[in-house]
Amino acid sequence: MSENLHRNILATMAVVLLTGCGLMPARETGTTASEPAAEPLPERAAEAHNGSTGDNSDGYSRNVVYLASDDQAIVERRQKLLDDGHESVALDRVGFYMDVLTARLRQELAGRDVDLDRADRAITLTFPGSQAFETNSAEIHPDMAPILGILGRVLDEYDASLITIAGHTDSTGAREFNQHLSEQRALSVGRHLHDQGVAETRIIAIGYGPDRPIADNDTLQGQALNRRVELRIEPLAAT
Amino acid sequence: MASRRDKVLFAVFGVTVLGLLIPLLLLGWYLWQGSVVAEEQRLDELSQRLGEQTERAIIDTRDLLDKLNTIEATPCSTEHLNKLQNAAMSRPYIRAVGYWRAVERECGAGFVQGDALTPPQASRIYDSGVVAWWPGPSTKVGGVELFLMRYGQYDVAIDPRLLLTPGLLEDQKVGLWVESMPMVAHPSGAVLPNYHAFEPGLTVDRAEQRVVSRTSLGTLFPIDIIAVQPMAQFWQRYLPTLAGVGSLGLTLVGLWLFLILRYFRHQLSLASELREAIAHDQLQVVFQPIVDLETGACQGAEALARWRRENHETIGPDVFVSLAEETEQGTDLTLAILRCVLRELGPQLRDRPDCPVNLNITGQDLASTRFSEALERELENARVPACAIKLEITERSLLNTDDVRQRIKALRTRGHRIAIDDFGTGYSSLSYLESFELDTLKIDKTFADAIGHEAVTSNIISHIIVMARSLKLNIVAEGIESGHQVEWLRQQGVGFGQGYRFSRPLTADAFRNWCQQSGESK
Repeated sequence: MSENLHRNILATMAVVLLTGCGLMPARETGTTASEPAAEPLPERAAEAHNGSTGDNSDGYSRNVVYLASDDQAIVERRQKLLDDGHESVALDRVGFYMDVLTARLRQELAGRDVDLDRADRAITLTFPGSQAFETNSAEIHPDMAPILGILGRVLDEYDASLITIAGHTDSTGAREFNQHLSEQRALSVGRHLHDQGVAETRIIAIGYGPDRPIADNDTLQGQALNRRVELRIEPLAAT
Repeated sequence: MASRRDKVLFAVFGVTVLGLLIPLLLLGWYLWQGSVVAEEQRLDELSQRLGEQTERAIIDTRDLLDKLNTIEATPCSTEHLNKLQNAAMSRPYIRAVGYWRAVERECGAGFVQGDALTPPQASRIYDSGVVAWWPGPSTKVGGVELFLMRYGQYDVAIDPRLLLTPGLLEDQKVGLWVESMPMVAHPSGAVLPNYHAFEPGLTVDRAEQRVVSRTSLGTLFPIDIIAVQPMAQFWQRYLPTLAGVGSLGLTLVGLWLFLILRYFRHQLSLASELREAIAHDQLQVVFQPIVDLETGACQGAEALARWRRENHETIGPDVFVSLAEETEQGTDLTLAILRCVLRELGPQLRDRPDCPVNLNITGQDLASTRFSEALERELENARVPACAIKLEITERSLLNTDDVRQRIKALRTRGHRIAIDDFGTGYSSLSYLESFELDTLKIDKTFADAIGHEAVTSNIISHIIVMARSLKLNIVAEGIESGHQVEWLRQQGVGFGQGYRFSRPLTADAFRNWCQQSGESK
């Protein structure tokens, strides 16, 4: 576990050093690879787009946040992680894992404007789009940085978990633009977590565009609620 | 008449019983309430203390977790472990303190084997980030269900049994709930009813034969305590007081009833026995001579009744005369005495009517004509002249009505002389007596006793004598015991006397002899 951590930190530092910036422009995400020279595993530099796993020998794109094309891709990714022997939680400790992780997140996020929802086997953090991002941009709002910092730290400790970041938009505007924006926003958050030391293999981004509203798109309030990013944390455990 | 008397009797009896039972019941109720209140206070205090102890322990644990998270030392270094150890050792109820990374216990003080420290479901996850696992099967180690609290990187395992000070509990069954979830029961494994089933305070659960006390504390978080005690123990605790006072009360009631019953039974049986005695002429009569103070000659005698019961107990006239009057046999009694007098002294009375016998009559005798008719008949049968029977009426029984006055007058016309008895003890004035036709005034013994003692009464007697003489009444002084009294009375002009100075009451034979002797000596 701690070996993993160190490797991640090293990788992140390398990326930060070589790109000169932790936050890549949203437009470039998925199309522009990080500088390969800094990587401990230089054979990467693959295309992360549309759920393709690239052409690496182990099937993971190094230092690139994975963008899932659909829900099925998430399930497969999750299974692959388990099959590949990723850090996981013993089945009889899943409940305990979720309880203490929930408590830890509450402790660390106390006073922050984050909605935390605990389900039996998943914790969902919801960030309103208006607070997390600049308007119509995947650029993360400066206020979000500390929250993502905290999440990075906690998720690094609780490493036997899969983090799915789902971007959502409202139904106004062109569908394609919305789809793209939701993907970019998800990727942006994912990349930020990665920068905080969370292994890229545990992070999945997905964009749902306007397809999964949680409120009425006919009202301004509903639209604001629909523009959001959901961060879903699941324990990695054999099912 | 007898039924009215019975009714009164029953009423008196009933009131007596009620008057005793009501205070007794009230006393019992008061004692019971007192016991309940005392028990309530005792259990409430106990519960309060237990609740406060638990509250303190939980708050202390919470503070400890806060402090642990600020420890600067390198995790799991000797310094770090020492600090954990100190924290655990200074608190008796802490079984283990652990430092965790995610779900792995990296190190700690105290160790708990198995999965007891990683239960599958938390009881509470607070917004502050504190997680708590209430004691339950999943936190059970070696038969003890632990209470776990975790905050940040640290957890604390508490043995809930040690939250309760055993000394306080004695042999009580106690259950303690924190935030509505069972925290601990004493003794271990005791099955206790849920506190929801009971009202706060003390409940006497007769169906289950137990006393249940519920106390709730809600300073920082709700704590509910149930203390259960078998009814038998409650009784044991308070029975001595209840039984002591109760039995004392019952004894008093019993004694009181017994005395009342005995008194009434005695009275009732005495009355019926008296009726028997009258019917069968079983009363005896003795005669106390009345003497001429000047000459010492016998001037007659007062007939005094004696009643000897079958058990040889002698009942005084003061008892049976009033008993006879109470039970409406006054006239029967008088007539029985009359018959006795005539039987024993008939011939002498025939021969010497100048030496009459005084017969005591009662107010009842004058209330109807029955007595005077019977008297006439008896005297006729015995052939004794009316003048040989002098009638004594007590001042108190003399009713100032026309009927009574007429009857006295009729008796007197027939030849009977009338004496007023016990004069001076009633409240009537002499002028009141004047309205009756009387012959003799008998001055009560108390006045004779006072002679020579210069008491107020001795002053009064002089006045009585003066006034009696002015009414031309013969005067008989009763209860004369000394020559000095005789002398004084004679000087005052009192003609006759009666008392131990002359003779005690005598049987008929003795009286005849006495009469002869006193006649000869003169």
